[in-house]
Amino acid sequence: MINPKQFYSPSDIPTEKDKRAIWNIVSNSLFPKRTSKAFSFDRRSFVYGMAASFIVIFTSIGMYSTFKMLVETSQPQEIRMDNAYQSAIRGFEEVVSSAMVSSKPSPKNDLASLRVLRLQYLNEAIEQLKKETNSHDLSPLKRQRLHALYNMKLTLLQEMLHQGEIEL
Amino acid sequence: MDIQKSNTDETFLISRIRNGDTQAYKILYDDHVELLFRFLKQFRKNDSEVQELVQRAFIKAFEGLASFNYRSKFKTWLFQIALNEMRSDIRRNSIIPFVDIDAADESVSESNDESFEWNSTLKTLFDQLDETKRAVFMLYEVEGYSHSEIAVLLNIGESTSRTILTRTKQWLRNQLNVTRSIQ
Repeated sequence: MINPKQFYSPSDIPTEKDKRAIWNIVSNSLFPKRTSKAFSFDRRSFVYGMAASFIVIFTSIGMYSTFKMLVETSQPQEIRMDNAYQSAIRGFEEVVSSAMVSSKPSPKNDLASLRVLRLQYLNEAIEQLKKETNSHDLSPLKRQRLHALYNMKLTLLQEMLHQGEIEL
Repeated sequence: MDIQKSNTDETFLISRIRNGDTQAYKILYDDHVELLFRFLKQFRKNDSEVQELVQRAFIKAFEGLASFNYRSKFKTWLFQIALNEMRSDIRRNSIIPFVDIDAADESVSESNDESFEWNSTLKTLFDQLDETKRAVFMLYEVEGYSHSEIAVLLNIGESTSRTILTRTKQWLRNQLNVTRSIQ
């Protein structure tokens, strides 16, 4: 066997520079580095992605609001009136709720007790009728009856307020 | 003991590379780049050609490391890849021998015992050999591979490897004698 050190001449041995040059090409080919250009591209993509997400979110909200408004405005007159009554009573009750809780029948004032009792009956009747009448039920008789009950309740609440039975 | 340690180190390095440690491949590269470069330099005198072959061999070795089965040393496997790359470069399906190897007389007496006193004259004569003879001679005489390993490396029969080596040595000796007689 020939000693490799004798066989190979110094010109056969790669220099350190040669080795580095070869390794640079090998490593760049096998393990490509993430250049600043790639990072900038990633950052730009991220910004575009975020912007696109916001646009999608706001567009969805806008579309939902528009759709809701369209649905509401396309409701029949009776249902819109129901909603108006309910909204008015709810607003009224919110303002006077604490007062109404404290309004209990008192033997000293029979009329006031009677009004509180009437109010309870009215509430029960409205709840009962609302259960029977869902929003798609357009039975004219039921609607008419519900509107009358709402009207009565509002009038009664107004009366109680005038009589000082509800303190604000 | 050293060989065993070296194999263990190599196995450990390769398992690290397989687990994604790219720094381990740099260590494996540093251990082998010189061995491969000087070997390939005997076939290509142009440094840039040698560099390109070395690069391709290391890239292919890394890409195929998952299929490396530890049956041979990494060096043998790397040399095989490099030789295949060289072969594909010269667009040959197999190494074309300068003698009819199929008809080679396998009874040619081997003269492995006769060692060469390597000198500059022999080196000049060596450069006149074709690639197959150069490869077999170097792999056996310089790199220390067995004929069975050379057979795998060069995709030739083991007996063919023996025949080529014997004839190459005979040729070198004859040429050396002729040169000396002229001088």
